[in-house]
Amino acid sequence: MKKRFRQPRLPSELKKEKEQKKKEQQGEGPFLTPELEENINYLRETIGHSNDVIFREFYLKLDQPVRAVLIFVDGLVAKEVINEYILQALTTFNAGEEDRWTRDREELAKNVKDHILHINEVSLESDLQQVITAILSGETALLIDGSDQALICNTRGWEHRGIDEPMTEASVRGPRVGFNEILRSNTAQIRRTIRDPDLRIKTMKIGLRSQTDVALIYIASIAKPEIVAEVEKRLKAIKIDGLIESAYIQEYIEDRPGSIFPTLQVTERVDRVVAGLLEGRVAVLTDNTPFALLMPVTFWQLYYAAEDYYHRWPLAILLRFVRFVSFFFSLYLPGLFIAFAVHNPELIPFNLAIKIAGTREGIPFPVFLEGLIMELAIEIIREASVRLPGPFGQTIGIVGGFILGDAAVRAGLISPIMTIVVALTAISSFAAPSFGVAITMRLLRFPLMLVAQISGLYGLSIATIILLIHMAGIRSFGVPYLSPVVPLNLSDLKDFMFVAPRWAMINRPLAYEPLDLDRGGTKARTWWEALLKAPQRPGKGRKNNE
Amino acid sequence: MNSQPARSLSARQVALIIIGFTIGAGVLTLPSAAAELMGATGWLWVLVTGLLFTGAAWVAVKLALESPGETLVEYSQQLLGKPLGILYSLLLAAYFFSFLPVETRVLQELVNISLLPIAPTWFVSGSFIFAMAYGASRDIRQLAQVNELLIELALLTGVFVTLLSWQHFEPMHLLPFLAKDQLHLENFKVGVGTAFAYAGYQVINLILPNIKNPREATKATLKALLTVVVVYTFFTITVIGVFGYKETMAVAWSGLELAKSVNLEAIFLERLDLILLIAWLSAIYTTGLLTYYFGALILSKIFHLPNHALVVWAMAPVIYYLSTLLKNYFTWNEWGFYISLFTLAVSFIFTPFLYLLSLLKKRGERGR
Repeated sequence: MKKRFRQPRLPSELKKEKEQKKKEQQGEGPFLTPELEENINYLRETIGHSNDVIFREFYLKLDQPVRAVLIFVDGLVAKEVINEYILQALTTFNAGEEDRWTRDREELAKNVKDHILHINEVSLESDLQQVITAILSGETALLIDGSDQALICNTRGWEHRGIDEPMTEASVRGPRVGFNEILRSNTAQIRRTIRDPDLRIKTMKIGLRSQTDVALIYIASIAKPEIVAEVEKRLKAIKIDGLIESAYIQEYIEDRPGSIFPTLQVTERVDRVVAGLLEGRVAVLTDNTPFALLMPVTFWQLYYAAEDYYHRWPLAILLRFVRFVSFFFSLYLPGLFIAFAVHNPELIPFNLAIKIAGTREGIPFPVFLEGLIMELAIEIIREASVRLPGPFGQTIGIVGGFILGDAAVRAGLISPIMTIVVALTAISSFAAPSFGVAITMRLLRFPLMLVAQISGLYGLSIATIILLIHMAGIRSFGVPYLSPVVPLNLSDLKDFMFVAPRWAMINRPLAYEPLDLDRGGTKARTWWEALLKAPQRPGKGRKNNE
Repeated sequence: MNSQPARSLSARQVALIIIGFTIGAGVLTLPSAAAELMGATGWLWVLVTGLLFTGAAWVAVKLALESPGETLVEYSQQLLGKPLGILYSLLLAAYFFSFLPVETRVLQELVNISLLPIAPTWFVSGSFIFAMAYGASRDIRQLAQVNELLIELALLTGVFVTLLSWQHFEPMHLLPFLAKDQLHLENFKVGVGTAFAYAGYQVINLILPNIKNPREATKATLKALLTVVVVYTFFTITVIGVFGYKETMAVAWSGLELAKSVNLEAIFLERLDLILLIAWLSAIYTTGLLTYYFGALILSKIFHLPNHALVVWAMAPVIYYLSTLLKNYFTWNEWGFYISLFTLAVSFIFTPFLYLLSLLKKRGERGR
């Protein structure tokens, strides 16, 4: 930074200057000076070139008029707050005889904050760089002549999307709120759901130019401190100029950047993040995006939907079962079909084998190519329908999927059974509640099809084993990816294929090694104990909650 | 990958590693060998030898627990002196590696028989060795997890198919009990050959430094061996009970024949033997994976290499070459015989001897 010209100073000021220099050498600063003009010039020099940055100068009527300036960015601030609670308060203030503090120039900024401003969130700042960041984040800086501190008033207020139902993770039952693009509103939603003093929200700025707010959220008395520290460490290590979406963070902090499997959970559901926090996991929220990151995560967890916990357990078990089947289908179905059709038709029942052979009569392609064409067609239709606006997208889906498929079968290019297989696979891959893992399955399907064409069931087995080895090596922030299946964790299996009723989920998942294992209201249902135990004498027994 | 994560395995995982190591290529031929030796009472051979090996495993754990922070490679050098200790470790590594060509060949044979009749040898063997090498180059935690999953699947499927075949079970086939004309214990080669099916618990001498709680090792090893004995005995009883001892002797892959005998109506799959074959493929894979890993581990420890993965990949072509040497059933049976012989020597001579040495040394130290 260019050294600025300074007038001769008093020894005390020299000392201050020395400190400032020291700080500057440590990479901070430059700092405000008591000369208002100098500060304004500096700020005009740095951010004043854009005409949405507004410098409003006025006089404060203290014991004598003092020049002051308000600096804010038009569009990022709530103007009525500035007009009514800052500007009006400052300009109409008239120092009387009793206001002795008005003569104290040293503590001027603090005194103005304490006596005049009608703003709830005000802080003092002397680092110019911080002042600039604050202004650019929608806060208003008040600089007063003679004071080397700026008052930063929270006046943020800009146009934004309201709280909406999450688009990517809809559910039949459960809260219909998702995150929006405003970090503060998102953290507030989490606070509103967990009123726990141990809920920690640590905010940091990431991105040299974008200075995006990123919040690290966890419950201090549950989350394993090592995990929190690790997340924080990895967040702080991010060096990037602009942070636009949480995907950027994801790529920086995930455990296996080379792997096809996601090791973080991405969600825009508030309830999901809250449930994750209560399990001892850590959430990272990023400003300007509704997608939160949850970590650590196990592979299976990516197949759990928030809804599983809102239905009664029998239905939840069915849902989980369906989803695991869909996982299997979306990965293996085309591969298995090809393996059976090409190499081992004797494995399938005779009548079915005859049917398959019959429908393949006169198809000009080998099974693999047939499958590949259809899978590619589905991928194209899917991509096209995402890009098109709503109603068009549906039309493309119908035209592409229905008409094209039917025509291909009629023309004798594709066998109807292959159409069934591909359609079932596509639908199955939509059943995955997590978009990230669905993509993984989509990507893995193609090599598996190729392997099946070359080497049938043997190849599929070997490929599966290699996949398993790869997955067993993944750790998400120290948590084995395939937990609780391997390493087997019997206690955690209550929330796997089988979903225990809420009152029977006595412990938090052991996989995340929470500090506090007990979910608290454990023995809410005492009727089952009552069946087994002799009735307790009144006054001695535990309080019955029901 | 290069550092050995210390003390990260649970007792259960260790037990499953021993099971995964032990159950492999041997299981499919075990009933025929047993029938050859003892006729209708063949299962008794399996049971008794199994219990003997359980005893041997107990000695091996005792030896391992004498120095719970070290592997055999280190304490054999302390007990036998450096040259002899290194020689013994080298022998052990060679022993582990000698499994691999056999496993690869047996697998290749079975895959060619049933799953992929047209596939060339190099493709099947090569891909299998690659998969094993890929797995073996990872660290023990990862291996333990994969092994856990695969061996459980294999065992469950195996037991399931075996149970299904009980529809053809004839109790009369198991009689007469110890008929004299059926006993052919003099058949030395076949008798020794059954030891092949029990090789594997030796890993406890290598894995102990990785167990979370070393005190649980004894229990885990014994549990693993007893599980293996029960599975083998049950399997042999079923095979002999279904086919009768004469037929059992005649069929090469009794397990597959067993699965073929199962009739299932109105189920998606026509034949169960291929399902069993895939389950068995994972069992043989775990054996290969673990022998590979531990063989490489011994070598990397002897030569103080920073990373066992180097050894793993360096050995892959050697294994492939050796597997091509095993031309047919008879050659690998021969090879299997020598492996069995060495298994017997390790189990009943070397390990007890080492244990005695360690006890004497301990007493000597105490005397001082």
